[in-house]
Amino acid sequence: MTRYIVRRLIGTIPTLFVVSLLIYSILLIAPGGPEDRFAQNPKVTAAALEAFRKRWGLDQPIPIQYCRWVGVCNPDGQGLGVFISNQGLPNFLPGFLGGGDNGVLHGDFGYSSSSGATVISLIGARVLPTTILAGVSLVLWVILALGTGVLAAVRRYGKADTAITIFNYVGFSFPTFWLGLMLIIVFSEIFRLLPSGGMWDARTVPIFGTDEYWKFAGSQPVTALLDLGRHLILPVVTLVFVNIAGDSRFVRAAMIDSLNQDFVRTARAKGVSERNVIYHHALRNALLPVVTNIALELPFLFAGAVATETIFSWPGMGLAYIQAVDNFDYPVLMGILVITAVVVVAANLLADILYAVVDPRISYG
Amino acid sequence: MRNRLGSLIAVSALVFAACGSSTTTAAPSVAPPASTAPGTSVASTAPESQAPIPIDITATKYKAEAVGNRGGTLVLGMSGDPSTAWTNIYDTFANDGEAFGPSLWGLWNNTNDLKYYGQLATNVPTVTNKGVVLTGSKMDVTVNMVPGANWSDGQPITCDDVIFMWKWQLDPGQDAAGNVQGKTGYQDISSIDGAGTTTCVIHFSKVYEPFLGLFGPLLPAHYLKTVPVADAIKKLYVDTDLKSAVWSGPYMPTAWAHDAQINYVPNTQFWTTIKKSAAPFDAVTLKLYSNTDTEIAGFVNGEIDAALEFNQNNIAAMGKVAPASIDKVASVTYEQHSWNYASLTKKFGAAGAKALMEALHYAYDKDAINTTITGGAVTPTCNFTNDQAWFNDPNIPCYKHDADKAASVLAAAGFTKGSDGSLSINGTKVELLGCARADRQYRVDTLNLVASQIKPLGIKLTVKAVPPTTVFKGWGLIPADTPCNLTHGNFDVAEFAWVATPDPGSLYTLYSSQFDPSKGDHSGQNYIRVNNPDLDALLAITQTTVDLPTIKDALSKIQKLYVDPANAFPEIALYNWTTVLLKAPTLHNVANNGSASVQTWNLEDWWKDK
Amino acid sequence: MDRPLPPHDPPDERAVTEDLDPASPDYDVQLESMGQWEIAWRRFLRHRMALIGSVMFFGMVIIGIVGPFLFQYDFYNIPVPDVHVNAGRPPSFDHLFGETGRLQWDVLTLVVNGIRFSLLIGVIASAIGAVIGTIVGGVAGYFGGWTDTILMRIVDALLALPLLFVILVFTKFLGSGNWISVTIIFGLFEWLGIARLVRAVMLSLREEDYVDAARAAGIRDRRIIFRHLIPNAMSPIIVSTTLGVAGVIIGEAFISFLGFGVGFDTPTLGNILAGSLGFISQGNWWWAFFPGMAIVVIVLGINFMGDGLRDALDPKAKI
Repeated sequence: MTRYIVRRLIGTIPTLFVVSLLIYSILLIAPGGPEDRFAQNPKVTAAALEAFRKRWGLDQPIPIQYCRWVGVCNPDGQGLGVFISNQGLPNFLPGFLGGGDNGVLHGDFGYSSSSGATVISLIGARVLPTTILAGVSLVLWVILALGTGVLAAVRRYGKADTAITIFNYVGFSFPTFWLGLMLIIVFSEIFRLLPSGGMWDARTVPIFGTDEYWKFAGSQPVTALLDLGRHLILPVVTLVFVNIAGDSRFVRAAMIDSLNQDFVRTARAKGVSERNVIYHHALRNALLPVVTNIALELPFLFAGAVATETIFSWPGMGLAYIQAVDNFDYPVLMGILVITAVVVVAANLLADILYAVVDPRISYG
Repeated sequence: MRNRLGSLIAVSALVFAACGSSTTTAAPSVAPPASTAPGTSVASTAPESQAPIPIDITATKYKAEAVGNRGGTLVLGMSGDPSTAWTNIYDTFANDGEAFGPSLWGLWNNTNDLKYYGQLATNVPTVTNKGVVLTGSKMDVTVNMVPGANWSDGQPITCDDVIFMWKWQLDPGQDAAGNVQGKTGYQDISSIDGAGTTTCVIHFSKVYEPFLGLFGPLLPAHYLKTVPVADAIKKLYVDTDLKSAVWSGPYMPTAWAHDAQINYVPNTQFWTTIKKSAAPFDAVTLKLYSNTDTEIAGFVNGEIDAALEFNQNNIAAMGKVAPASIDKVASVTYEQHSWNYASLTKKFGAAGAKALMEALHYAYDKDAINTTITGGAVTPTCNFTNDQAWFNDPNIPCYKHDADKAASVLAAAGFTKGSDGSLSINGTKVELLGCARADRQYRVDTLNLVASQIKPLGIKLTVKAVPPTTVFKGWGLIPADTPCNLTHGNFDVAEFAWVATPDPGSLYTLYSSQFDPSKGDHSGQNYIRVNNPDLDALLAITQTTVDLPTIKDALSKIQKLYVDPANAFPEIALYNWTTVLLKAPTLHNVANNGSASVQTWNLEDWWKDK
Repeated sequence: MDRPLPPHDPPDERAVTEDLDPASPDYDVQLESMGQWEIAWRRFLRHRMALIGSVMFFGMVIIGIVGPFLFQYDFYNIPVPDVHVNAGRPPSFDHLFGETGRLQWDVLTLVVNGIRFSLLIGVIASAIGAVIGTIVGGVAGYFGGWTDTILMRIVDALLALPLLFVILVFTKFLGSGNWISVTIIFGLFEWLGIARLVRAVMLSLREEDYVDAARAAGIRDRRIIFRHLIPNAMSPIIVSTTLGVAGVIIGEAFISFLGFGVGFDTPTLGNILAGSLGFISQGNWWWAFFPGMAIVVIVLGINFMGDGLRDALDPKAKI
């Protein structure tokens, strides 16, 4: 088992390498560069643009740029010395082993080309909000998917099944942003029941994630939770409504499959109650593919939250990405892409391992 | 979404363009001779020019109401996240000014009626008040700083800051850091006297007319000195450590959660040493929405006291807002159709182009454009000035919409209508290409409406929507034959907005024949390729004098020329933008500002009922 | 685009076999006498939702093709508004779907033209994706070895990136405005799933006897791939491409909403919707409602149809 996990872990390295190459080349193919935000500003002279490009290393050959960004090359090095860190050892090693301190390998994603802040600080603040939105949606969506999927499978071809199927497909067909804006117009502009956006009430609650916020949450946990809950309702409803279709259908399929298995028939023949058959025998068997499927869907959830975040002013990764696109902020774009790619690869790995652990039929020698 | 934000990207860049760039005027071939008299030929077109009347550019009507209640938190709303706290230095979006303008003051600023007032300076120097002294081609400006004023960390604000910031702006390290202000203006300063005092004399080596735009904001020397210039953007005014930064304005930011919120507290040094009163609010909070529609919904829902940064295109979405809460004011930004005179000349000959241009001026129905496109939210304009600008001449006649006149002008010039109804001259059909940014529906709509207005004349206008960068990209950055690129002149008409300033020097790079982008270093913005010696001479005046009556006189003549059928000027101004903000009825002293300064320009005066 | 597609619905066992009585002696003969495609067709016809979906989808396709010629207004020759109503006017007999704000365009004309362009973008992008995916998957699966490893690493890596993010960068920096470039950008990133599918089929077929025989007969690889192997992978390609159309249409709508999509000189359902949003709170619901419903009908139709196709074309499914 350990050998299998180690092998799979090593197997992700080439994938991540190709991912980093792809991210780099995608942004290179895209015309322009960070300097494009000055394209319309005649006060920024050609000489200034040249200096700006030099400052961002954009005057270097592309392989060198990539090599520096990854952290294998030392930006201070010359000739073959680029691979050697200032401590005299190969640059790609961790800092404490004598390597360099630049590049993605050393956790340095550089600075935002528009604001000068470190990319890590910009992205770091976005992780928790996105995780909360995605996490709450995921939990709700799994519960609902299981409920509706099992019901649909048990009542196959019945009225409930048809209703659930139609509901699923209709939700799946809605453009997320349209649904979100309609909800805002109805629930905040017309009925004034729910906030139109944001993650906390700007009037009464401190900025989320700051010390003041945790102090506030510690002293008035109910108020803090209620406030967060109020702000979560519309985005979560949007996310769940448009995403539930996939899993609900999947649960239904897995459940039908397992209801047709021999052991279920045996259980029925033995006189086990139908309730027991469904919940103890069939559902348990159907959960395995469902759980692994959800691990594989995690990344879609993160990416899919972009539309929801942009509509509901949710200060997460998706909104940060769009802001960076608007700003021609290449370092931030690359940082977010790398981090999402790592999350995706990790989720795939997790799904594989989970599957290997739970399913005895998989040999992992 | 992000319509407002997006428009600001395009527009904010033009702000810089419009601020009058002397970087680009530095080339000797370009700089007009200082001896050019306000042209003889020009004078003949304006025989009624009257004796100069005294002009007071500080005579504002704005008067703050006394603070009636103190305490509480002011919650503002805005759409889009600012890019950096360095207002006007390294920023990208214009909304950065809304967020951080009230935290970092400049020497001067504009009021809501486009007048000038001192922020950290107590005087607005002009020739009349002897604040500006001209000696030959040189210019000395005396600045009196607010005495006893302190930065937020208690250090005094003096001429040392002015001197240091001047040198800091000119440091070569700024290029690499991406300083959007550039060296414009600062490089014309030869020296500054008054170190250690609050009376500074800035010596300019040449006349720099828009000098009131310099030092906005003024930055603290002792803070800037702590790091090398090239590292400033990374280490100073850092978003995660705003508390350690040094500020001068009434409220200073303490925390910034991107895309969510910025918190401010009163700057006690400001209130004790500059304003000498207590702050009306205990705290200010700026809530950041990701798009204008949800910002409006948030205001309706009572989440914020005031919603900032809207324009005429957002009014349609304000159906649920109480009309009394909608505060509209005409902006200095004006929407216009740039007609490419070079392309028209090439197609229809010199005489044909002139007649066609004149006919177009008559064919435009600007009232219809206003009602249809903006729902009557703007006022159609005749020319490039805002009515409130000090140099505006209100007595200039306008083209009147007159389709018959347009037809007769065309017929007189030899244009004929074919059996299929299409207009042509010497066998060339009048088929034109209209360009707009793909993401601005109202512009595509406006061009389509104009196409329908000129269709009865037999003119065929095809509207093309292209990416914003295609429209504005510079000479060397885009293939020369890219359709709709303004720099290369691959268009017949293009719609976009110019951000004018309360200062007329900006027109120079737009209308001077020296700034035809096909010429020189291609950095000019005379996209319309107007080439008029009279105009060149008049524009030169704005570059060689700071004598306000002389400038006003020249501007009056330019305005006249702009609407004179004899000139058939190839730019058609449609309307001034409307700057819009939403305010709760409990808020006082909110004075929406349509100038280049921001809607929060007088935040220190705002207060709220209990 | 931004979410996983619903998984496979298990085939409805009752469907096709109803009129074939397994007890009858002719059962096997009847089955054998039906060609593969005929079986699929019959199965498809039995799939009620698939039928409804096809009616919805092809109804929209027909509207998209002939609609613009049937209606009284030509998108490229919009009449000048006689009365200026910035908010537009509600549905009436002259304008069944109402009129837009600003230029008072007939919403019906807009929607009909929007359906045409949205479908064009969806279908062409998916077709480009299908071609690239088939070639990449075919080559990887047939040759195996290093070719396979490298190609599949690239596919894995691209799958690790949220494609919407990548498309956003491209449309913003390169293609926004022009519907053809937006289509191509979507097409260039729509092939990953298909490449994986085709490769899997290839791997399973590669070792079949007839492939060996073809190789032994000296038939060139290209011919073997495209003449013998690809046709066997047609079913998953068709299903995946069909579902891809829906993904592209929704993705384009979102990109338009962000302002990076197709320019307003070319109507797509996405940009009509994006243009209408600011006018809703003035009471102008019709401008947003009808293009929104058109998207829902098309996407719903495609998903129903895709589900039916998947069941019908699944060779493993019992009949």
